[in-house]
Order: sequence, then structure tokens, then C-alpha cells
Amino acid sequence: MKEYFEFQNKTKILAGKKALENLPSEFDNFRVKRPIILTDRGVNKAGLVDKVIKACGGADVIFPAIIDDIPQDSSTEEVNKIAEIYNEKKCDGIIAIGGGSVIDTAKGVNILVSEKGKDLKEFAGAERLKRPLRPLFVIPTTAGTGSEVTAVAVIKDDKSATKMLFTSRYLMPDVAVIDPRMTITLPAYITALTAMDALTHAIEAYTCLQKNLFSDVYAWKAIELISKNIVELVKNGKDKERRLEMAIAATMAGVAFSNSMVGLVHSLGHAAGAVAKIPHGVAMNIFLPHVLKFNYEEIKEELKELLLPLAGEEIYVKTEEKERARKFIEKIEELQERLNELIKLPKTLKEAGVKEEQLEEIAEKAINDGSLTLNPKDVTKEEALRILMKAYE
Amino acid sequence: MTSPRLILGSHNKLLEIDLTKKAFTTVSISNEERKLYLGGKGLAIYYLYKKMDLSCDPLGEDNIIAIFGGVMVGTGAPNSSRFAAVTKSPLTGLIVSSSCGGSFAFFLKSVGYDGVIIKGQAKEPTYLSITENGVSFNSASKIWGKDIFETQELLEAKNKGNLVIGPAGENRVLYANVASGHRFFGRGGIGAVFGAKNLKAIVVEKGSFRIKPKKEKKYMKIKRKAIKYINRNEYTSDLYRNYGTNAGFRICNEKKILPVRNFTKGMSEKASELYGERLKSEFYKKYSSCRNCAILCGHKGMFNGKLIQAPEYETTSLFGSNLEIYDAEKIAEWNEICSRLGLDTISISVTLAYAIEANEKNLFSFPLKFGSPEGVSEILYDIAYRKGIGEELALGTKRLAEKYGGKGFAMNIKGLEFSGYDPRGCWGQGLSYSVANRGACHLSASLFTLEAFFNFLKGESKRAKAQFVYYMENLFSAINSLQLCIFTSYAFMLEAPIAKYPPKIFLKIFISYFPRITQKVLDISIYSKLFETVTGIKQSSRDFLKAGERIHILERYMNTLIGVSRIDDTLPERFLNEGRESDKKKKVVPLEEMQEKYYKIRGYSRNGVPTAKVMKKLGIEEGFQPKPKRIKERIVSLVFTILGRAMKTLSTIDSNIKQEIRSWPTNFKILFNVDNYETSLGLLKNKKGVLNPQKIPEKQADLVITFRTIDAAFELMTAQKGIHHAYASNAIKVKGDTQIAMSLIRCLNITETYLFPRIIAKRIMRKIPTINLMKRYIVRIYLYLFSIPFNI
Ligand code: SF4
Repeated sequence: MKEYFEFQNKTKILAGKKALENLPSEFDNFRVKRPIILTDRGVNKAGLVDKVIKACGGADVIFPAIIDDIPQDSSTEEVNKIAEIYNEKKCDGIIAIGGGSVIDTAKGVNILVSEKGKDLKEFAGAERLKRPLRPLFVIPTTAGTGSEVTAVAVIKDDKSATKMLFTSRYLMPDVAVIDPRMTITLPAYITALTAMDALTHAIEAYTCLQKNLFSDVYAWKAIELISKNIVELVKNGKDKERRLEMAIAATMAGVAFSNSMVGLVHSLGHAAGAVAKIPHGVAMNIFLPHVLKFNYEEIKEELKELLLPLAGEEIYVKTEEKERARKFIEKIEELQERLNELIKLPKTLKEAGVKEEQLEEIAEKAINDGSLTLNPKDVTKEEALRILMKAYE
Repeated sequence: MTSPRLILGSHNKLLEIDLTKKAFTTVSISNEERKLYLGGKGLAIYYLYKKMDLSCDPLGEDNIIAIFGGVMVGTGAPNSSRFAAVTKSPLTGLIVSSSCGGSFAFFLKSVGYDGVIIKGQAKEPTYLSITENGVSFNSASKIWGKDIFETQELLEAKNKGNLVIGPAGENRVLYANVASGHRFFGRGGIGAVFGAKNLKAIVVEKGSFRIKPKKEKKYMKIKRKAIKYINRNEYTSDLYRNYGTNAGFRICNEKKILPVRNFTKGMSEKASELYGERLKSEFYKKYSSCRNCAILCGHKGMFNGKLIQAPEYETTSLFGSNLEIYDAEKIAEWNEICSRLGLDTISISVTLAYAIEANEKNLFSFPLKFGSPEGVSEILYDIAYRKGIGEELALGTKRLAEKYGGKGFAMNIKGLEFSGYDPRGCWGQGLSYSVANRGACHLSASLFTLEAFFNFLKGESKRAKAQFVYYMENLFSAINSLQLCIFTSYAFMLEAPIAKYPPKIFLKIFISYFPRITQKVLDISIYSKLFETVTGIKQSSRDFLKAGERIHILERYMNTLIGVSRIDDTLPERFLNEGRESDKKKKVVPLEEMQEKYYKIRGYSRNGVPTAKVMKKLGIEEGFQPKPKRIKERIVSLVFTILGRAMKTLSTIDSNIKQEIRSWPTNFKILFNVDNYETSLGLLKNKKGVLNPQKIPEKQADLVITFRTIDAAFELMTAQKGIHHAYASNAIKVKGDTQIAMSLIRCLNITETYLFPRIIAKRIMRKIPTINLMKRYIVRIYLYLFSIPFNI
């Protein structure tokens, strides 16, 4: 057991059927009268913004602007542009409706408008924010990133084309609304990919160095819910009950990894994303079993425990104690297989369109990624490359 | 001086001054903005809405003061020198706008500007000089600490435009004022904002710009008509001209709306000492009015052997009858001291009244007494210099009462002290006070004129009050943006043929019974025509009133963004619960009902916030706003009615319910309501122990059960969910005694058992109360056949 640890989750979570309908009273709580809405085209076209607005019927708020052209990658240019609109329209809060990039953009905007800054770069890095930001309400439309409860944001600097990382407890949103209506239209492929993202968050949170008893609880339950629902949801996305559970699981995983951080799967994922542009969730899905094997000796006790939420009581009991960790990895591989069968979710880097000659660069980038710090085992470039080779075909 | 430069119509130029950077620039106004916000108060508010961080500290660097004249300044039209200052008030924390009749705006226009905007904060005491060539920032070290008259003299400001603060402003007394000559921005502490910015004064040299109305011939015609009306109207040509605003003293005393002994009596036997008629015959010597005035309500008089400015009605009533001091010479002396020190006579005298009463009630130790002039002069100095007890009195009644108690007789709304009209005898004025943007202000709608001066509306009646508060607010906001003195409205409105010639009784009936129609036909076209002929921008009377409405709504909206909501729109307890000594019936102001109507007319939400719809209609801005869920609201409201009637019946026949209710205090008031929605169910336990459904204002309820969303209320009311479930999912909030709340829930369950078939009851209740089957059916039939449809 660790001698000392910290745990924080200030985000108020409104979850369940008709969760959106409670937004107005949160606007009151935070004295917000003119929130700006940030979203992306897809979300807006799917009618989700309308659903949110409609649910707020009767509230004393005006939405002075709805920005729906946030691109896939949050960027400084976008953040600057929105911050200007925010100020010009005298907004007093932010509602982010969307996935990770919308939420991260919202966090970036919040930094600028709250700190009255001009250049986002000034605030990049860890704990550069000095005071609480404006109220931020997040309505995730994917069940994956967990950004609705995390204290980080990743935003691309347009000038240097590098990704800037922002971490600060003030970045945690004030309210997250988990409403099944927001994820019900998510296509099967995205459902799988975001679920794998969330599952990786939970597993890494439970197995990496900064884990603690509180984050364990969140991670544990997240793994159980994801495992229970992922395949069924890929088969039938209209199941509201499962959608809700999956969304809650993703948020729980977010709370867990926001406090205990992530490890090598993410280092490799970030690097592969940067070099070969493969989507984050896809990368997580590919690397997860390989990294578990690599870390095996250090994490086998944790994996043994996690077999219970992942595979259920029956399998857990039937599996011999010393076999449980292996069984866990086996189960993950089975899941990978299943998703590949159902919706062709890539299992290998090759399938994901990565070129062999890119592996070297990915390995180089991966060992310099911040998330490596908390991986239970140190990684050399050669080791990273070896993992990548295994994941390639 | 260079040869005159002609401004055709309006110049549309503002001077923006940054005290921190010691820099200035010129800003232009578009014709579109001019048409929408007119000028003066309107444009100043609009400017602040665009440029100011509304959450700023009023005494901090980020607060902005916008001092704007209107298009009439410099045209020579009657009462046209007035100009407005708008800023965030340190006294109320809200937007304050104030109007002044000095010559500052006139001079400012002569150097080519319609207004100045003051930003930032000077490091050292500073005064500004403005000429055609720009602004110079001068050290005020030699005049800092001097009183207003001394400062004006030192700056040789007599023949210049000037704005000056006194020691009260320097020391940030929260109700310090700003002088321009001998006229003031009186209310809301604009002087403290100057002081906090280290700005002692602004002087403007005479420049060479001259105004020429765009349609000069037509303009001259309208101007002549305006003067003719002013010289013919009883109020403007006789009462105000002869007796000043103190003409109101007699009227207010006779109507029993005079503030006497901190607003407890309504009238006084001794009041005639201070009647305008007496002041005129004994003291007034000459006119001393705003620049360009054709009404001439201001006077100078010989008091104690000195020729000084005579106090206005607000000062004579609030320093006089309200402190029970009927000595005109003393009051004139205090008025003079306040003018020198830069103190708002209204806020300070009301603060004294509070302190005296608080001392009588042992809340606060204070040496002054009602009826005694002893110590008043000294305390004025103590306040301005914030010495001793003056330190605290400088904060005004609201803060004092927060600290020492006695909110019920701390006569302020939203922090601004009351002016001299007791609303218990003029309910419309009560409504107007409660909703006025800047606080307890009599000039927002001046309903007392319709109720007490002209006798068009019965004072102690709710009839047509909401409509006329709405109308007069719009009109006055527009006049204050044009800008002329609002007293012109007496003449312009009442001397127009449509109001002048019909018999007065006709007008009275129309105003009372057909307010909206009357408002449509009342002729206020002089104002819009003055605007149109000067600027060349087309404007009908309707446009003019709409501009007023736009300005009023924008100001309100800004205040709601700062934090004002329905709970702030109220009156001190004294006006809501205590009758006046002079009124046998002990009437109080029935505020709720008038206010509800007013909100509807204004287009405010239940919480008092202007809706996006009204903002859009007025062209303030476009914004998306979720539509209220009206169908669900109707259904909830229907079930509320059913529930109320059923509970009333059951509280007389069901022994279990009777027993539950027995434990509640008599007159216990229960309220069910829904956040953000109007619908509610009030239940009152009467003396016989019967639960009576009736309207109960939230403030008066002992137990409030609030549904957080209309959806939750709908689910509960349509028996899709039980009360326990609703509670578990955070859908209801309970305010009040939880034991009675539990008892109430048991009553509700019993009621529902009677109302609903078992199968539904099972779903919504953890345990169904046992009631004999026969009884259940009989009572159910009775409820549905008689109680609910006929309320018996
Ligand atoms: S009527 Fe009185 S307040 Fe109005 S402009 Fe004339 S002197 Fe000033």
C-alpha cells in the first residue's frame, strides 16, 4: 500500500434518464445566464444540440452563440477565435457538447477567457493556472475520453504544430451530464473504439504507479460495466440502459485515470497518433494486450484481481489463482477478436494503416512521452520497438 | 476662439479617456445606434453593455463611467442641457444612471463631443481639462481635499463646463455625488467612483462647435410649441416655477404619502412649515435652475441671511418631516453642507433616519434624535471625512442593517435609499420603487404624479398600475436619453389636445380602465419630433417609446447579469406589513399581484429576467433561448388544482389527515412550486384546521416544496413516479420544517390513495395507507363529482 496519495473529483455528475433536464438548475447554481455552446458539425447535425436546448426549456438563460465548427484536433487558432466570440458576446459560462476535441477546446477557451489572456501558450504545462475558471458544463456525446471529469487538455499549437499539454485542477469541468440520449446515435465502430479507450483508461489506472484505493474503485466498476456492455452495444446501439451504463463507465474511468494517470499504452498511442495519425481508440485497442504482457511481472497481482470485473464471477472462480492474470489478457484478446469480427476494428498496426518504416519514429516518440513516467516498468527504445513489431502484424 | 464650426444634426463623437495610460481617443456612434439608443442615458448604457466587465469592482480600475449628453444639448430647446452619467454603483453594486442639469454637456459639445468615457484609474489625484485639441491630465494635488465650491473656484470653472467631487467622493462615501455647477449627479455614489479613480474634476473650455438642427424650420416650430405648452401647464408654469419641487410638499401631506419619522406616519400637522408655498413667500429670492430651463424649478433663497440654493422636495421631506425637523433654515443649511461636501441628500438623510430608529430600538448606538436638529451638521462632516461613527454611516442603510439588524426599517431597495413618497398611499409608486433599475428611485416611473398630483389613478388601488409603471418607465428612459428634463412630460403630455380638452373625468376613466388604449392615444410626439428634426433620423412616437423600452430592458438585463432577480424586487417590510399612523385602515402595499402583472407586461421570466424574446423584439440582441414547456406546465397546474381541492375536502372528512394536520400550527402556509415556472399550489391551514388552497407568495410560505424541473413535477403529478422516488433522484427541494414535510407527505399519500386506483397507487407508494374499501370508493366518487369540479 502506498503511504500517501491524493484524490480529487470536483465535477458534479448528473447522470441518468432525463439528466439534461436538470441543467437549468445547475445554471442557477453557478449563476450562469449567457453560456456559449461549443460543439462540432456532426453532433449538431445529429440534433443533439437541439435536444440540449429543448431540455433546458424555461431556464433563464440565453445562448448568445453556438459554435459548431470545432475540428477533430483542438487547436490554438480555434481556441483564440472562440475566446474572442465569448468575450464579444459577453458570455459567462461554457457548455461543451461533444467528444474529446470539443471538450479540450472548451477547456482551452476557458483558460483564455478566465485568465483574460491573449496567448494560450503562456498557460501550457502543469499547474500554470492561478484561479478558478468560468463555469464549464460538459455533455459528452461519446463514451470514451472521460474529459468531462479530467484535469487535462491537449491542444495543438498551430504555429509549431506540436501538441501542448495543460494540466491543472482548475481544468476539471464543474458539471458533467451523462444522458443516454446523447450517445444513442453513436455508430457501432465509434462505440467500440471509444469503449476501448475507456477500458484502457481503467486498466492503466488500476495498474500504473499512481493508483490508489479511490481510483481503484472507479476503475474496477468501469471495467465491469464496459465489459458487460461493449459487445452488446456494438450489436445493438439503441439499448438505452446499456448506453447509460457505458457512458457512466467512461466517466468513471476518467475519474480514475485523472487521479492515477496512465502508462505505456498511452505513450505508444500518443506517439502512433502523432506519427501515423491513427485514431486514439484504435491505438488503445491494438496496444493494450501487448503492453499488459510487457508489464506482466509488475502487474500480475492487479490483473488477477481485475479478472473478476472483466470476466464475471463464474470464470473468475473457475480459473485457478495463478492462471487469472493470463486469463485476463486472454479475455482482452478475445474481446479484440470479437470486435474485429463484428466491425473490423483493427487488431494490428498494419491493419490500421501504419507503415513499417514508421515504427522507429513511433518508438522514439513513445519513450519521450510524459505518461511513461508512471508505467510500472521502465521502457527502452529497443523494448518499445519490440512491442511495436509484435503489434504490427 | 476660432470661427464657429457647424455640427449638422448630431455629431456622433465620443471622447474615450484612459486614466491609467493617460491617453484618449475618439469613438464614433453610428446612426443606427443613435436611432436605437437615442443618446444620454440610453447610449451610455449601451456603451457599457458592450465594453464593461459587469462583474468589475465598482471602486476598481475596471469600472467605467460614461457621461453622455443627448442630441438636444446645444440646440437651445427648453430644458435641453441635461446629460446622464452611467456606471456601476458602489452603493448598489448595480448599474446606476443619473441625470444632471449643469452645463458640462453643453461645453463638451462646443468642443465637439457628445460624451466622455472614463476608464482606468489615475495613480495620483488628477483633474482633466478638455479642449478642442484634446485632453490634458493635470495634478490635482492642490485641490484634493477642497470642497466642491472651493474647487470650482480654484479651477475658475464658472464659465467652463465642469464636473467636480467633494471630500465625500474623495473618501469614497458610497453615496457621494458629482457636481456640475450647482446641479448634481445625485444618486448611487458616482462621486465615489470618481474618487476611486483619483479623479477630482473635469473641466471643459468653451469650443467653437455649434449645433444646427437638420430640419431647422420644423424644429423651430416644435420648439415654439414646446415652450407654449410649458408656459401653459399648471405644474410647469405655476406650481414648479413658483414653489419648486416643494410644490409637492402640501400635496404629499394631504395625500398622506409624506415620509414622516422614518416612514411611519404618512402626514404631519407641522408639515405646512415646509410647504413650497411658505418657502416661496419667506425665503425664495430668485431662480437658480439648470441651464436652458423653461420651467425653472430651482430657486435660491435667503436662509439665515445667506443667499443659497433652496433645498429640493426630497431634501426638505427627508431631512425635514422624515426626521421630524420642521425648520426650513436648518434644512437649507444642511443642504448647503451636503452640496459642498458632495453628499447625496436623499441617501444621507434616510441613513440618519435609520440610525436614529436603530438607536431607539437598541440595535445601534447613535446620538441623534427624531425632532432634534442637534448634531446633524457635525455628522455630515463626519460622514464625508469618514470620521468616528461617520465611517459606518458612509456605507448607507443596507450595509448598516446587514450588520446591526433592522432591515424592515432600513429604507432602501437594492441598496439605494428611498425618496420622499410613502408607497402605502400610492401603490403604483410602490410597484415602481420595487422594480426600478437603480433601486428605490422615484424618477424611474414617478407614478406618484399620476396617483397623487394629477389624481388620474386612485392611490390605494392596484388598477392599471402595472401598465402605467411600464409606460412611464419607457417614456422616462427615452426622455432621459433624448435628453430633456423629465418634468417637461407634465406639459408635453397634458397640454396636447388629446389630453387637454376632454373632461378630466373622461381621462381618469380611460387611464384607469383602458390603460393600454390610453397609452396608445396619449400624444408625446413633441419628443420624437424634436429628435427627428434635430438629427434627421426618422422617428415616430412609437419608435421613441420603444427606444425607451429597449434602454430600460437593457439596463435591467445588465443588472440581472450582475445578479438581480425577483427576490430583490421588493419593498422594506415596513411598507408590506405595517400601516401608517395616519391611516385608520392600516393599508399596506399589495405588491405581489401588481408585480406579477408587471413582469408579464415587461416580458420578464418568473425570476425577473428579460426573456430572449423581448430582447429580440426590441432589437437588443439575438440569442437562442429554450422554450418553456407550456403543455407540461398546464397539466401540472391542473393537477395542482385537483390536489388542492381534494386535500381541502379530505382535511374535513378523513380522520388520518385531520390528525396529521392537527400537529401543524394554525395559519401554516405550504407552497408547492416548480423552478423557473409560474405554476404553484399554496395550502393554508386555517383556524378550523382545514387546508385551503390559495395563492401564497414564496416569501410568505412556511414550507416550500420545489420541483427542480417541470419534467419531474409532471412525472410526479401524473403518477408516473412517487414522491420518494422524486426525492431520491434529487427532483425536489424542501425548505422549512422537515417534520411537517414528512407529515405532509403522509397526507399526500392518503389523498392519492383516494384519488387513484390501487394499481397506480402501488406503483407510486412504498406502502399504501389502509383505508376501508367502501369508504375509499364513496370518498373517491364524492371527490371527483363534487370537490374537484365545484370546489366544495
Ligand atoms: S425643471 Fe428643474 S430640474 Fe428640470 S431642467 Fe428645469 S431646473 Fe432643472
